[in-house]
Amino acid sequence: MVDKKLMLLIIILVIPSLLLGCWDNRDFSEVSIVSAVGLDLTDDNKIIATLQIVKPSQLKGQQEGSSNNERATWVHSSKGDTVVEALRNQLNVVNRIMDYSHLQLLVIGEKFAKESIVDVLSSFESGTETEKEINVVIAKGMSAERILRAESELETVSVMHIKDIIDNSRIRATMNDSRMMDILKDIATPGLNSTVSVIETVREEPELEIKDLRIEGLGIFKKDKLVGYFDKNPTKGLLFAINEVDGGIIAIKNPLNENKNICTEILDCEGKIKAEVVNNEPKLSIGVRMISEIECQQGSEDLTSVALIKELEKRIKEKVIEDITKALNSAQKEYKSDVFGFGKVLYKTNLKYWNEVKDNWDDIFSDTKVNINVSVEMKRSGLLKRSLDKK
Amino acid sequence: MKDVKISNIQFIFLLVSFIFGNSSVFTLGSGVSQDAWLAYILGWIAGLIIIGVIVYLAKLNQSKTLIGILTDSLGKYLGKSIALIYVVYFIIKGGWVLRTYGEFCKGAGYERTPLVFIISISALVLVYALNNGLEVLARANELLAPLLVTFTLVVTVLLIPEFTFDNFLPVFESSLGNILISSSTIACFPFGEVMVFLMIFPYMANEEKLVKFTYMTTIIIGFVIFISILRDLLVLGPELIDITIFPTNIVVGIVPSIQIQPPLLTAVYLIGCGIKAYVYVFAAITAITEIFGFDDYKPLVIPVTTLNVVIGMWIYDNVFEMLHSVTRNVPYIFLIFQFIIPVIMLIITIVKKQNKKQTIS
Repeated sequence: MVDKKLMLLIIILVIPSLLLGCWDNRDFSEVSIVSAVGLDLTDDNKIIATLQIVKPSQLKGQQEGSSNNERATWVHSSKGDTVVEALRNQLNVVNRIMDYSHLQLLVIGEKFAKESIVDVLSSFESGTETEKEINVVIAKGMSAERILRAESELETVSVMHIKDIIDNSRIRATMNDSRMMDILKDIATPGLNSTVSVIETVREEPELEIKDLRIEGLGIFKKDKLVGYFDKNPTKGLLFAINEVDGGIIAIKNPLNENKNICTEILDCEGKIKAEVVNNEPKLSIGVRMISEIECQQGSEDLTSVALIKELEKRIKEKVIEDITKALNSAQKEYKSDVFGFGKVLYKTNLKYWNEVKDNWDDIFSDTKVNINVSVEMKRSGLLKRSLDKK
Repeated sequence: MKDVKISNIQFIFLLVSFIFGNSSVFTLGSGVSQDAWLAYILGWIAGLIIIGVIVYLAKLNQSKTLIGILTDSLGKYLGKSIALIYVVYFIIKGGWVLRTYGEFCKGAGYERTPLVFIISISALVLVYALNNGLEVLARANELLAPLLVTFTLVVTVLLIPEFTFDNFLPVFESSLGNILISSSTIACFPFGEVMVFLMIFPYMANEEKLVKFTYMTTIIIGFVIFISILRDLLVLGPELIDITIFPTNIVVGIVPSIQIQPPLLTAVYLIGCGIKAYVYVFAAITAITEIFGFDDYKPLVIPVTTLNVVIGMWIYDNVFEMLHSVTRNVPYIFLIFQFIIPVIMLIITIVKKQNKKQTIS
């Protein structure tokens, strides 16, 4: 009998310890799930926070397999002096408390990025709810709100569409996946300026759709401020150099028939940034090793002879060097921002020299010639030796 | 109570849980950025020296607890009054361990749960375990301690793809002075805290092997903590290590695919901090029993644990104070208990032994 009473007591004592987390328990039906946050800065330095909230009824509908054309998300903006305040002000309109644990994407308006990106990111980093791996993009030339309002025909929650495009970035070689944590780390690293992917509009429509957007290119930062953009080609060049590419297409002219094109696929690409100090002068170089294959070919010439493969390799190499040079030129001359991280390499390997130059590194970087070494190996051509002859 | 004996493996696991305890809640050696690992290794070595004093003292005074050693070498009154100060030290430390656990829980997930609730619920478990005695806890810990180590190692292996190996560089950016300050805090916490085992050593079944076991365990668990520091540094980078309050919590959240690690981490800390708090409270209670010559320590369990909870709540006003105290001020005060008094005891013991030998010969 005594044992039973003791057991009861133990059970009563143990149960509360298991229910600690239920103290501020909120049921799934009491929260609204935020899929994306957009942040803009107004002219009078107020912050506009836009949330894309998933409609609960719509989620249910999806599970049952019904297909109605109603939007699955609801977008609303609110104003405040700080990011957190602006987000909290959403509750003036939204009935359910926001749940940020499923946040997928953070869109930052151009004006905000030019002011300071750290203020935004650290307020998300400090919160315990959000994942630290959410992707960050910059809305080029428009407000973040418009991107969140853009509709998708493929996904019910439109931001998932953008998120998936970003996830494929390593094989598109036209943008970074720019995770929030990586950006913060880059900003904190001496001698490295960070880059964040960019979304812009291609067609100006009153009601934007995802297909009207171009999710490509990088925003170039100087410390925590946005200073400019790389479009497609320099972005490729930068990504080759900093080893962020796993795949991608390079189109070159057919050496036997200059009117036709050959499309080659990157199978593997290894980039390395090198920096050393010789006679108190920095010596910077970029090395890229690339392995590629012929993906498709216009014209039916047989390209598989050794001499022609050498010629193809040379052409790819020229193309890669061209892209890297473009990126270098605009980083050095236009923005004076070391997005390649030469300074970081110096900081890591030659601290003494770095301490001497760190204050005017951007100028030194801009005036230093950078050697580019690219080696390309053409390994195979799929299953065909050449295209079909038209007879 | 003297007939309670814990086996070798139980002792080793107890020491593993104790040292691991709440030390991994914080990044040991933060404040010196990428040189944290260096500071840790220096602190580890210094810790081994402190532990050397403690185990040598225990070896010379076999089957005597700290109280016995104090009264034997300093006389009844002075010895017992210093022993009472030690009791206060144990209780403060026990409360502090509970507080760090509670603060971690609040920071890492239970945002709205009142701190006092988290701490008292943990203390309830403590009371239950204390009533059952050391042997029961040691046996339970045999199952729990491997979990701590396994969890740390599994998370580390899963995070290898996220490692950035040049996060080590440049070595020695922070000055040697800062590194030494940082490493001296590591010597006090967690390694110097092994001092409390002076109350536990007499319960060992194989007490003559305590030097070997203590050193072996300290080296193994020291290595596990070293791995976890390396992991945090390689994943987060020097800057984020310095600015985050609970870096391990963020690091663990990065592990891809499965999403159960943060709760698991809390569970792991509950085990570690629970065992650590247990050892402190047990030490305090047995010390009181011995000082005043009680027969049984059980009546003391609830009052002392309650005192622990209260001290845990009172010891700091906010989390900033706690962090500051861990990395800067308080360890030096504790160094008196962990190193200076044991060294004095050791000298007195050696001198007495030699006198005895001379009188015999």
